[in-house]
Amino acid sequence: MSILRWFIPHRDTHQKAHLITWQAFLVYCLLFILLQNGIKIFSLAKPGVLGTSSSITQQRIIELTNAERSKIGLPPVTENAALSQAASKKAANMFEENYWAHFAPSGKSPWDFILNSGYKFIYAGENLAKNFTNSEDVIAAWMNSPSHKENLINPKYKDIGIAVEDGILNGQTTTLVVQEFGSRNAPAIAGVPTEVALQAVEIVPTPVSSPSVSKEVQVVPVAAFQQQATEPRVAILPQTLPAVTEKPLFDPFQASKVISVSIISILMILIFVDFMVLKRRGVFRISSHHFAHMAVLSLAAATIFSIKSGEISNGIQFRAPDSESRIMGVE
Amino acid sequence: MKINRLHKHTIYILLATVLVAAVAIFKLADQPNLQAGILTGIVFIYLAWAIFYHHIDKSIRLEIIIEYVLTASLALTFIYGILL
Repeated sequence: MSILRWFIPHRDTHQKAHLITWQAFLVYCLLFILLQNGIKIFSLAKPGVLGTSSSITQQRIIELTNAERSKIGLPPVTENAALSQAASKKAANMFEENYWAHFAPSGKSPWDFILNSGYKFIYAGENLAKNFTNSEDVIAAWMNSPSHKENLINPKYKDIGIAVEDGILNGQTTTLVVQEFGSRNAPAIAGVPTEVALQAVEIVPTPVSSPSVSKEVQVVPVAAFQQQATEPRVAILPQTLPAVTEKPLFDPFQASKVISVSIISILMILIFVDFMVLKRRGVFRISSHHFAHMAVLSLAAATIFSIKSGEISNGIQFRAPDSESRIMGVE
Repeated sequence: MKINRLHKHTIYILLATVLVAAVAIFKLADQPNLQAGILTGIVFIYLAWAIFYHHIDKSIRLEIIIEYVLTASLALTFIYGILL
């Protein structure tokens, strides 16, 4: 069998090249499904080998958030150590309990993390994102989601806390971004000014953190620290948090994009070659329409090419009138 | 029949629809679910067009329809395989 038969129509029968027959298309579909499932199984068998690496930073997220707020004339939100600690604990809890949601399987709510960090809020909100590669894409995705946008440009919020944490979620190295918003009208400790109450206490992180996990010193407000006196200090970074020791081997999302776009490109070239060869030979063959296939395949390639990595959940808000809290809206 | 003469030009309608969809997909770069939704819609339009085209052309064959279905399946398998 001539190797050319795989790429161009048969010289005598003018049948399609093997690589663009319907049988070949069926094989491509099955192989891709097999590849996707193989990646999932491998991720579970070898946690942390596959995943995303990102350049997201807390400061950049805050800068971009304030840039969006200033566009509509809102005052900037200021970084709050207690909210950052709450965000960090929330991220750690997601890795620990292996979930991706505002509410933990164990029943913990975002407001539990905020209140436990010593931040007594009147209004609070939380945005989540995972597997984005840069801060700009995170903010763009949040701004395109009504519930997240409502948090980002909410005039009620005065403070912000951000956590950008690497860990293992569903077997893959994952970058989680947790953004906590809040506002309060009273200092954390009665009779003590806010500035004093938020004076930082340095806590050295437990050695579970890895080179790819931020090694910044954990900063906790005095008020929160005092309230946590009964809690063990290791609770700030749970011991059970899976350690990310090195950068992932490859990103399954990017690999799938490259493989699928490559296959589509090759198929489009072969379909075009098929069209040109038949035209040159002056042969009419009853078959499907070349340009219809090419149009749909090129649209699929364009979609795959433009899809960005990263996922956001719905943004949520919370209001705590006095000491009693109630949910304002969860989408 | 007028429709028999015109059906050969319906490919341009399909190509124009795909072009509009491509612009929409690039505009919605931050909303992958919407992008996948648009592609799914176009895939169904493509299948409907294929049946119409080959029916009028009197060239409809099971093998040809399978080719269209598998091309559509390949496009959707890639997109949803990446997204899910």
